[in-house]
Amino acid sequence: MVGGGTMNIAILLKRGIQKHRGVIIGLFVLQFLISFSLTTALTIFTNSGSYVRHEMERLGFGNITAWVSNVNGVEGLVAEIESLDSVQHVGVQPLIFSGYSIKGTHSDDEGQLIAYTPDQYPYKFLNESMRGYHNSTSIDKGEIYISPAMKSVYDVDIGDTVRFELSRTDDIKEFTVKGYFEDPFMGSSMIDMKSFLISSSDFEELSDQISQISDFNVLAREGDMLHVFESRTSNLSPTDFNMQINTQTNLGSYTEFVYTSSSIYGFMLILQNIFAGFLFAFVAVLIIVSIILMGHSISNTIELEFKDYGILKTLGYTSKHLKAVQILQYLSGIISGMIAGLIGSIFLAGTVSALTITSTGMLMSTEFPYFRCIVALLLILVILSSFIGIKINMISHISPVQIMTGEISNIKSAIKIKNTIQRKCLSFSLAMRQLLSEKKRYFGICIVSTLLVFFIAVVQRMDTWIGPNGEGLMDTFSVADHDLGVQPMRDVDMDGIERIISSYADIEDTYEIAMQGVMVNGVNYTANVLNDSSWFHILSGKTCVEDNEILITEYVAKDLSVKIGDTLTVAHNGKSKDFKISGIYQCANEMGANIAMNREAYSKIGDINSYIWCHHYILSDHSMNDEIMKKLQNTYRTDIAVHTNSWSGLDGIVSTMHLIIYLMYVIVIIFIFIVILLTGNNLLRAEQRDLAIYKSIGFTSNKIRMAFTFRFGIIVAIGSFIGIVISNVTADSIISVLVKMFGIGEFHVKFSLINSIMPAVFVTIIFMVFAFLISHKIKKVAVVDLINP
Amino acid sequence: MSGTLISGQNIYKVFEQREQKTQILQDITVDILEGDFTIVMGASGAGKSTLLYALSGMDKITSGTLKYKEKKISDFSEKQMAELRANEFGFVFQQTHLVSNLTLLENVAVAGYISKKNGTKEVQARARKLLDQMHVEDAQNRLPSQTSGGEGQRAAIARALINEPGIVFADEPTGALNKSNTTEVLNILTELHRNGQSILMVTHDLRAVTRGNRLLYIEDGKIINELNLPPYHEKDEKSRESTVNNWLASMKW
Repeated sequence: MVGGGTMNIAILLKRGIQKHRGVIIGLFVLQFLISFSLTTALTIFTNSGSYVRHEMERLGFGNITAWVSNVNGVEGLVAEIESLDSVQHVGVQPLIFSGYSIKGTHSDDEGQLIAYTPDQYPYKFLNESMRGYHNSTSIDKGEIYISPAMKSVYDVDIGDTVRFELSRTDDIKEFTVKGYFEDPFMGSSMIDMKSFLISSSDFEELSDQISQISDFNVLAREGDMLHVFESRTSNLSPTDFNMQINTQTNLGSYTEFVYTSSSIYGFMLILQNIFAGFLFAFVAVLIIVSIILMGHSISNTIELEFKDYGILKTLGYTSKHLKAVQILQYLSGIISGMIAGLIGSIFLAGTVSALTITSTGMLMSTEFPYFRCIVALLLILVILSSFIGIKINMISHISPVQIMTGEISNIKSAIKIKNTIQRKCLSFSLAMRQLLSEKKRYFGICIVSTLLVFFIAVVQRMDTWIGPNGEGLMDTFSVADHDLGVQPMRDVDMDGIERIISSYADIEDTYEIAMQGVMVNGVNYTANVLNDSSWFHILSGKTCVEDNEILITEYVAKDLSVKIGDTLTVAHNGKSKDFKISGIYQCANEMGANIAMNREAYSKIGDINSYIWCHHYILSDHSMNDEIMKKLQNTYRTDIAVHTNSWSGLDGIVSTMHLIIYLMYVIVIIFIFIVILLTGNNLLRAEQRDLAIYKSIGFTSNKIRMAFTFRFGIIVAIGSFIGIVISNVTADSIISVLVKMFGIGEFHVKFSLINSIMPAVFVTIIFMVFAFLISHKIKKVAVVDLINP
Repeated sequence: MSGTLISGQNIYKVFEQREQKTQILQDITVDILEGDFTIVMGASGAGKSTLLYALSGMDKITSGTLKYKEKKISDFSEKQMAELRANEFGFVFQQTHLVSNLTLLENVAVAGYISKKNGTKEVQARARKLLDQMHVEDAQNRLPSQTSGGEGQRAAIARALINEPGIVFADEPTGALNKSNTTEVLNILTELHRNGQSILMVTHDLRAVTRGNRLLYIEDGKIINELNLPPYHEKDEKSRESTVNNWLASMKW
């Protein structure tokens, strides 16, 4: 009977940890990565959402926010809206819409100037480092506060100048950037339109100035943000609430655009959700791989040490003792890794928030969601512990008698599939034979490589789809493909404009587009109107050819519960008409809240002769887009608005994507190293005898190392190939489900052999490099080890 | 007179473990002659296996000089030693030590492939022939775990011979075998010696000792005595045993 049970287990545990420290370190690193990634993702996900909601409530954003202009007496409109039973009250924030430029770059979209009134709308100002706030409660004349996202879009710093073009003549107003403020709606770099805070006196001055500019010349205009709060007793959905207000008041006549609070959250949280989503997916892959690696390690260890277990059993140790030692060994690595990851995440939460502020526009709270994180980690711990418990059960089946009588031996059954051992590629043949005879040992590595390649391939596909400069993403968000857009604001010489364009690049094709705010069955959407409806990206059905046909997005179809063939009432400027849905099309603009019509259809409800048309051009040379835009802006100034197929939020997404890809490759490399560390060491231990035999018959260490490396090369190549096939078959469908959240109806990447193979080649090479490195232990295998094992 | 195959001068072998040094071989000077069936024997722990592995270059000597066919191999690199093992040396161990996932034929052929002495077809033909000669032709396509101890050991001898080595080193080759297998293996080694193969064998099995024509007795890491015998014939077995027993008794073995 073994006396002092705890003491003896402690000795075994200490020796076990020393002996298997490589495995335990590997588990530590794996769990660190899991814990760090998971808790960081939970922190970002929890805090971002709750902070945006909190700030929107604090700053008085209601269930619906409507941007209105040209209202004669907004008080009347407010009273009309507040008279509805479903409306609790309406908050009003006066603003001025105006185009602007920073450091010579004109904005694509208008900005909105807001008077800072801290008693009513207490915006938070960030300090210079953007890692905290300062307590300023006033803005001086000539000063302006901007969103931190402007830094990433325009590279604007404190002290720079923002120019607002109030008219076609020289009514320019300049402000000096004093600092940054948090804007819970337009703060994100994902959103083109930006808010600017100025002093009340400056606001009044601007208002007066605008009112004195002639209608012909004025570019800026006054408006209001109406924050509409739904009554607590009302149970309307956001869409129905919007519909009711539009149909029962005159709001629709003045609305430039309307957003529900949920769509605002969506806009603000896109980048955080992408990043957190990526981390969650990564954690899932890591957990699966941890389980595979642990299973491999446990099986190998028990197989190699079964004799020791038998001997210990003869000394009185029970299976319970031995299993406890095993579990504690593995848990020591797992738990310490989890704790280290948790601590790392707590310390780095502030850094993550500070790093992302120029994209998100908000200083995310660093309050750690302890409860969620601990519950999540405990759940993972339970899963891993249960798995270990099941795997080490084989210890119960080791009988001391079998060990003593030598009953258990390393008998191999016949190898069912055998390769020929070839002299010409001896190392490769021997590697192949090892794989075929020990398939179980390598199965886990095959699965790991499949998962890694699949993961890389999915991220790579997203990157390919986005495009190196975001052009792929733009095509998804754009109504139709184009390189350059020119919108005349008055009569201009379009031929002259096209001559300038042609001097840089050939115009391959052109069409006209107008984007107008409309009401569809009482709900505000944007109508994308083209003079040639063949340009729309059709997902199902057919394009809108007739003047009584429209297209809708999948988002609108879901929002209004309609399908192809149904009829919708589209209203604009007091006119309305019924249109039949001819098809579903792709346009992720406004998160998919848009419809499409041809010019003839729009003419039934709108004025097609006003300056609403933007000429879009497809050019032979995309690289000249920015130069052409600058030339046109300098030549025609405020007579036209020019844009390329880009948007300010794009840089944020492209940068985030590049960051994700760099991180992913780094983590995959670390990951492969851990896998090799865990599996390679076990394999070398198990094959000590065979390695010495090869040396005794004249194999050099390098030749044996090559055979060892080839093994990993072969099995990883097989797993990678499976990963390529699975990713090509399923990745687009999986990603489609995710991107639907952003209004993207379809995700598809053209097959590219190089892009498909690249992840497999990368993973295989890295595996082989690390396998070769870790095989340096073969040099230390001495032939005398055959006699003295 | 036979030429010197292996020459060891002032060989020392010291094992170090955690600052504790143990001298296993002390100032051994010995020549292993071509064509001899040399037996090294002694009590357990005397250093006989250590001497075998030192003379074969398997284990690095602490000091001294080791030559094979006049080449100083004690300074050889790993690559040079590997070439030597592939082309000039054959090894037979007490535990068969065949690669577990290669068949008996493949175990022999792979040893032939690693040497550059013969072409692929010659290696394959020779491997089959050797296995036939070792009476394991029926088991050549089986894995070592699917064969008996005797079959495995005979295949190991075939592997040792595939490249027509200058010398075969055997460490207690019959130690793990039963009586009939022991006799079979000893007969094979004797036959090889008769055909000119040089053999250096470590054993403490008296039946094996009598097969050698030159016996070296090692005690406390030193060769203290030597006995030369005529080549083995079965009819002389009894007298050889008697001679060897007397010799061993004189050293109080």
